[in-house]
Amino acid sequence: MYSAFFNGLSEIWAHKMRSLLSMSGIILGVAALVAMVSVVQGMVGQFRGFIEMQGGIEKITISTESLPKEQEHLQDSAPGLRVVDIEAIRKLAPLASHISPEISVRWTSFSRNGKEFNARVTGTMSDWLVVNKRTVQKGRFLSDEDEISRAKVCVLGTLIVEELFGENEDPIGEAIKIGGEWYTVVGVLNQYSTGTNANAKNSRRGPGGFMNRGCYIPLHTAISNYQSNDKLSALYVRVSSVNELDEAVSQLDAALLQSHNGFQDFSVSTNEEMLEEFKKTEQSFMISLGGVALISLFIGGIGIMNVMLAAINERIREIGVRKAVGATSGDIFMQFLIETVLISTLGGLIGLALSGGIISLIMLVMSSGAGMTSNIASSMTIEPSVMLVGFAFSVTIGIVSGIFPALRAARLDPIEALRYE
Amino acid sequence: MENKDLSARPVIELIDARKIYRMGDEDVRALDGVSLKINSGEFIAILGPSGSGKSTMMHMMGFMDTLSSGTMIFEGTDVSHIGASRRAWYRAHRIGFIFQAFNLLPRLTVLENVMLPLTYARTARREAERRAREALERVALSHRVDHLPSQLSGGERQRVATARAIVNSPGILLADEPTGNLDSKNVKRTLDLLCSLRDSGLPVLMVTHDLEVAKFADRVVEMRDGQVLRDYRQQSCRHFTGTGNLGDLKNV
Ligand SMILES: Nc1ncnc2c1ncn2[C@@H]1O[C@H](COP(=O)(O)OP(=O)(O)OP(=O)(O)O)[C@@H](O)[C@H]1O
Ligand SMILES: [Mg+2]
Repeated sequence: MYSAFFNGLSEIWAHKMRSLLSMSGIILGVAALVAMVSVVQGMVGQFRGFIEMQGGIEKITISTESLPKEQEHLQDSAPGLRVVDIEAIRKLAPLASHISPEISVRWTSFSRNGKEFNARVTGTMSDWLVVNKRTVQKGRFLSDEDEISRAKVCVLGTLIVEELFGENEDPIGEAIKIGGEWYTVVGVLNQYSTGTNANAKNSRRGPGGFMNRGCYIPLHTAISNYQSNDKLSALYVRVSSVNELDEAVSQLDAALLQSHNGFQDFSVSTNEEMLEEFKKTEQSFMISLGGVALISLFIGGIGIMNVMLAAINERIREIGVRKAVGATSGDIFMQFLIETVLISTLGGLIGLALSGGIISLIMLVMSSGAGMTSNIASSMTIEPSVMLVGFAFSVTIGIVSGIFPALRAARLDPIEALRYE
Repeated sequence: MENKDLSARPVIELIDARKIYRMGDEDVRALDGVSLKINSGEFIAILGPSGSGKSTMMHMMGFMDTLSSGTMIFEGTDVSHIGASRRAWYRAHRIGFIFQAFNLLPRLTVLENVMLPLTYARTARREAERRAREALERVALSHRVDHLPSQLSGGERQRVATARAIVNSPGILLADEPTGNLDSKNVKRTLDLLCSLRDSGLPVLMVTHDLEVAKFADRVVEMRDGQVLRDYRQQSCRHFTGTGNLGDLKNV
């Protein structure tokens, strides 16, 4: 074994170019495999982060829909989502542990001390924070008392604070003017950022920019100041455990159907559905790219087998000598098998190194782009388990493609082999 | 008395040995009923025209192949019907083989070439190296251990091959035309080496076409058509050409 190992290495070294060429399939295959898995894992990581930002999979979204076909003629009587639905959910859907109704008011001008800024106003309730998995940086979020008293208080996103307040000013307790009305600031939200690494750019551009430009006021304050009816823009619900998700969805469906007098003018959807959709995409990625990687590994194996067969033809005399001085067929078999495995393993290692290079290149190219792509790039890493799989592949291919040539070598008759010119 | 009995036991004994190769419809009788005893301390030259079965006999005695019929006794054991792995064991432990074409492995150093049979005999590396150095000392090549075969002359290569053949302390040394590729100076040197090995008790069996070379042996077996034609003892000329030169050798 020991000497077969070093023999193999010196054979490979003696035919550097040929060995390298025979490895090329494995090198590319392993590099492709590892790079591909890392990219897909980067996408998965990014998407999971994205879903977390959407409130995680425990969040359920209820939105107003137009009526289904069979109820279409009743469209005018359909009530849509209203404040009463909140009470209905509380009563009939106990699995909904947190309920966050939303009224999107409109973009309004914010002003203070002569500074002016346009931002989004949303009316909501205390559960908003939990449902959306957000946290408060300073002060507090809206409370139930604010709701009951229809208080003119607001919680601001970081971008609004940046625009209206100086760097050392504490906005808590300060008054600001929102669309002509005075509100007291009671809290500032933490910055919202997409992706796993929060960079400053996120706060102004893309989804981060939108979220950080939000101002939250009590639901009934919004209704009495900006609306003539009690319609909600949307309702969000949180369950305490993912296992209860399906059950909660049917509870919600039933509760809302009852409070809507049988009108199916709403939809209940989960982030899990998004996740499922994404998993399908991920799978098709894995299958197509993985297929390419596997095919090149397969071809790489055939290439190595070819080179080994040729090498054995050149070394018939050597095999004869080894057998003449006492090598068994098993010894010869092991010698050539080890040599083949060495070639493919070396190819695999080079492939792994190359995949590292490919990943950094992809990261370089992608991170110069904006938004999603740069975030995918930033969450791409080559995990040890993936490297191990790539390595295992190359060893396996070495064994599989080495068996046939090694058998050929082992079966040679020593007398014939010694007579061979 | 006891001592005589021991030495009387042949190292190898062939009894009515036959090897038949089937070539299409024809049978080639490479060995056609050979009976032969080889005792320790003998230096035997095998003579005979091309195709007379000399190499075939060497291959049988060297456990490279099996007889079609007949019996082979090796060191008191009937080995006529042993399998491939047992034969490999005998090749690694009990047989020394020297070829006309030297057959050193070009990628291995002199030392590694000599160690080769011991690696297949599963000898520990340290021990194998020690014995290989010892064997190289006997052929006076201790100073070339780290060289590659390509860096040696033909005569030196044949001495390395000889060292490789004796490194496992074999029961017999088989040499198929060992001098065929050498100039006369190296022929003499190789024959001296074989004689000295014989002197240490190792039986040497040497195929040759050269009658001058055969004169170094103390027994001659002449073959024809797969059979032993003549088998006789002679006085090895080594003792009276010991001081002679090349000319002497050619003119004997
Ligand atoms: N594998 C084989 N298949 C068929 N015939 C063979 C085989 N090996 C040897 N022979 C035949 O057996 C006979 C003896 O061959 P062998 O090699 O023993 O002769 P030799 O005396 O060594 O000849 P040379 O002096 O030319 O080396 C020859 O006729 C040869 O053609
Ligand atoms: Mg011959």
